[in-house]
Amino acid sequence: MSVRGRPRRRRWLWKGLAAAALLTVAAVGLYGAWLFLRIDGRFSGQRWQLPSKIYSDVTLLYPGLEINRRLFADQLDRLEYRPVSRPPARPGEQRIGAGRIEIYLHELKTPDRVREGFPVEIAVAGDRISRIRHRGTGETLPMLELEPEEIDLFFGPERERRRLISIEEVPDHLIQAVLTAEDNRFFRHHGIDWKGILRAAAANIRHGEIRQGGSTITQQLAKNYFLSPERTIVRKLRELLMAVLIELRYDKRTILEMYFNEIYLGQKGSTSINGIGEASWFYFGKPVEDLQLSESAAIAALIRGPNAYSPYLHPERCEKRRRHLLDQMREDGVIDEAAWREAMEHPVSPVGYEVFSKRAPYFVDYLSRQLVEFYSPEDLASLGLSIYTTLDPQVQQAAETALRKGIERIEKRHPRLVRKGRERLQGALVVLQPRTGAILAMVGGRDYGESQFNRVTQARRQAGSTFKPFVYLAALDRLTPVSILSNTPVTYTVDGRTWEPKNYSPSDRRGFRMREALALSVNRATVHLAMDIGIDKVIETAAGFGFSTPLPAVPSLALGAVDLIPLELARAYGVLAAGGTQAYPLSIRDVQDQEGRTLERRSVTLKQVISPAKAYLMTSLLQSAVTEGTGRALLSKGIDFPVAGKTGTTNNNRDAWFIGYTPDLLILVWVGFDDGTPVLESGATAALPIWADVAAAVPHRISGLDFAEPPGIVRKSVCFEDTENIPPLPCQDFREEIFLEDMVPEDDGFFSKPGAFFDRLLRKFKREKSQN
Amino acid sequence: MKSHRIENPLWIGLAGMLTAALLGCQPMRLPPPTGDRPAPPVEGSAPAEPAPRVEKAPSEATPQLHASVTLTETGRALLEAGRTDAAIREFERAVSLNPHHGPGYYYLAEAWLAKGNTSQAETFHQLARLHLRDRPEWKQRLSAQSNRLQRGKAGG
Repeated sequence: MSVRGRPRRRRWLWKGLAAAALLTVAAVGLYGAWLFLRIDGRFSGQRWQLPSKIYSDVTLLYPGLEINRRLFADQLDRLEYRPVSRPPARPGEQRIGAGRIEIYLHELKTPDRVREGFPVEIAVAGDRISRIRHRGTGETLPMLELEPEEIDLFFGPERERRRLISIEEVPDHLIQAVLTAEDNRFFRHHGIDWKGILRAAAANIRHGEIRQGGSTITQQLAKNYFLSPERTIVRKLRELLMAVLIELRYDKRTILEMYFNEIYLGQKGSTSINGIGEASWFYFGKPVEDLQLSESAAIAALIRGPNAYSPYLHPERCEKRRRHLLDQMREDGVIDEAAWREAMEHPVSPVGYEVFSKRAPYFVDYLSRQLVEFYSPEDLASLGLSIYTTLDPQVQQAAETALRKGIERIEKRHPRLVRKGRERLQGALVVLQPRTGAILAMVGGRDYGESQFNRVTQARRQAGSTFKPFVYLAALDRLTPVSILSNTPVTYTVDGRTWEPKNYSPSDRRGFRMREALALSVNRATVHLAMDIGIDKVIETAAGFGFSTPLPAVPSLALGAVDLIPLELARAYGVLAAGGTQAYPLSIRDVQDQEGRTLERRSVTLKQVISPAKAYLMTSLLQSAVTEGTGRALLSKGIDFPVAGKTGTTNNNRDAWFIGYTPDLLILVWVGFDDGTPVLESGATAALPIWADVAAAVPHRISGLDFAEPPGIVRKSVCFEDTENIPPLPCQDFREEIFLEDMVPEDDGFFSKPGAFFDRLLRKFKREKSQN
Repeated sequence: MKSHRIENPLWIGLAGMLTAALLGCQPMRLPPPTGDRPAPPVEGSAPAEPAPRVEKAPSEATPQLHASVTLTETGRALLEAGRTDAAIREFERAVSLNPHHGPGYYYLAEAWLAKGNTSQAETFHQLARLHLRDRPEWKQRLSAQSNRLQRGKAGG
C-alpha cells in the first residue's frame, strides 16, 4: 500500500460517510415530510368518524293531556332521567310521586331551537296533567317538550360513540386532572418528554419488563391516530417523530382538544365510549362543562385503564385511583387544600346506563332506505348527522307490546300454530297521523333479531274485506247508504272458471242496505255492487289512493282478492280519516350536520283525493262497522271514543286485519304467517284486540273528538221499512241517515212531505184491495 | 245511526203533517261539532291580514285544542320573525294535535306562500276554508289569502 493511497482512501471514506449521512438525513427528512403531510391531511380534514344519530320526535306535554304513566315513566328512563328521593336539583334527575312528577329537564336541542334544562313540576290528577310549573321561576307553562329520544346510531366498523367538545368547554380542573394523570410536563415539552422516558426506562429495567411507556399526551395522540398498538422499537421511533411533528404543526391547546376528543374511556355494550364529551354523559349524565372536580378526577383516572378503573365495573378500584390522583394534584399544587378536601369527601357515583339495544328497528330500516338515497353508508357512519324523525317512542312501545302479546294470545288459543324461528306466526302494525302522514310507530314483525323482513313496508298481503270501502266509495255517485244491495247468490265465470261469492256468515236475506252491507261485511252484496257499478270503476277509484301493486279486473277484487302493501293500505284509509286528503308518509323530519346546518327538511305534503263529503260519508259507514258490524268487539274492549274501522279476513283465514282510525290516529294491524298458513281466526278476533290494546295505551294521541262534518252532507230521516213489502201506515221505522247533498233520496217518509202520507195511504189501500 | 220507532203513529203523523205544513220540512242538520272555535282575532277589530292577533281557545275546548292554539301562536311569532321553516313545524304540530284547527291551516298556507310554494299553500288554503267556514271573522283574511295565491300562481 503506497503512502499516497491512504489519504485518498480516507477521503473516499469520509465522502462515503458524508453521502450516507446526507442520504439518511434526506430519507428521514422525506419520511418526516411524508408523515407531516399525513398528519396535516388527517387532522385538517374530518378528524373523527362520528356515527349519525336517529332521534324520535319531541314529546309534547300540556295541561289536560291524558298520559299513560307507565309509558311515560319508561320514556323518562330511556332519556336517562335518574330517580332521586329529593326534589331534582340537577339536569337529568326525576322524582315521580302520586300526584306530581318532578323533572330537572336536560337541555333540548331540536333543529329549530335550543332550550336550557330547567326544573319543572307536572301536577297530575288521575292520569291527566293538571298543571305544569317551572320550579325555578314559579311560572305556569302552557306546554312542555321532552327532548327527542336517541333511537339508533349508524356505526362504522369501530362502533365508537363520541360527542365532540371544544377545549373552551373543558373545565380547568379536568385539564389539570388529565395532565396530572398522564403528562404533567405537557406544557413544558415539545412532544417528547425525555425525563419521562428516562423515568420509564429506569422503571422497566428495574422490573425486567416493559411496564411504563413514558408517553406524552402528544405521543398518545400519534399512537391512537396512526399506529398499531404493538410495542416495538420501530413503532416507538415513529411515534416520537410524529409527536414532534404534531407539536410543530399545532399549538398545545389544539393538541389537548384533539386528545380529549380521541381517547378511549370505556365500553357501553358493544360500542366504545370515546372522548371526554361522551364519557361525561356516560358516567355522570351531564355535559363536560358541568363536571365537578371529584368527577373530573374519576374520568382522568380512567385513561390508564378504562375498564380496569371503570366506576361501573370496579367502583373500589376507581375510587382508589381517583383519590390517589387527587392527592397527586394537591402535591403538584394544581388544586388547593379546600378543593382537595371537597373532592375527597364526595365519592363519585355514576348515573347508570342502559345497554344500547335497537329501538324501533323496522322503522329505522325503513328510514335508512330513504337516507341511503342521499348519503352513503360510510357518510352515515362518519359524518355525525342528526336525523330527526316522526317516531313517538311511547306509541312505538305500546305497539310493540300489543303486537307481541296479541300474537302470543292467538298461539295460546291455538297451540298448533306455535312454530319456531322464521316460520313463526307474524304480525305487522303501523300507527299514522292521517292528517300529516307522520308515522308514529312501526312494527314490521314480532322479532327483528329473528326476521328483518318488514311486513309493514315490504309484505304484499291479500287485503280481503279491508278493500271493500273502496268498492263502496266507487258507488257513492250512484247509490246512497240506504240503497239496497242484492244478497242473492250469483255465479260468475272468470277465465272459464266459475266463482260464486259466499258470505262469511250465511244469511238468507235477499238484500242489505249499503250501510249495513259494509258494516257486516256482506260478500255477496259487495260483489253485486261492484258488478253493478263496474269493476273498472272500482279500479279507477282505488287507483287514486296510490296503491303500487296491480289491481286485477276480476269480480273477486270486490272482496279484496288483491295483494297490497300494508303501509299503502294504511295510507289509503288515512284519506278517509283526513277528510279526503292524502298525506305523503313522513318518517324523516330533518337532517342536520354536526354544525347544526339543516341538510334536509321534509314537510307535510297533501293531495286531495276525494271530496271531504265522500270521506265523511265513508267514515260514517265505517263507524257503523265498529258500532254495529264486524268491529263491534271494540266497544267491549273499552274503546268508547269515535272510531271508524274495518276488519278483514282472507280465504282460509290466511290474513287477519283490522284497520281503524279516529280523527287523530290511524292504526293498521295484520296477523298471519309469511307462508300463508291459516291463522285460524278472523280479523275481528286476531287483529282487532291488538288494535284496541294500542289505542287504549296511547291516550296522549287520541283526543276523543268526533269526525267533523264537512259541507256537502245532508242529514235526513228516511223510512227504513222493508220496501219489498208494502209498509203499514204510516212508516214506523224512521232513521236518520246522511247523504251527499246531490244524492238525497226522494221523500218517502211520513215527516218529509205531506204528500208522502197520501202516497203511502194509497199504496196501503191498493195492497189491501189486492189481498182481498 | 240514531233509530226511533214511533209509538203512536196516527197522532204523531198528524202532528208531523201540521208541523210540516207550518214550517216547511228542512233536512235535519245536527249542530256543528264543537271544540274547534278559538276566539276571533283581536276582539272588536276588523281582521287585517297578516296582522298579529291573539288566539284564545274557548273554555269548553279540549286540551288538544288549547295546545294547538298555543302552537299556532308560537308559529305565528316565528313566521313574523322570518323563521318560516320553524313556523311550518309549529303549524304542522298544531294541526296534528287538532286536525280541525282552521287557523293552523291558514297559517300553513301563509308560510308556504312566504316560501313561494303556491301549490302547497293552495292545499292548506283549501283546508283552512273548510275548517273556518263557520267563522265569519276569517272570511276577509281567507279572501285576501286567496287573492295572493292567485297572484302567486300568475307570477309563476
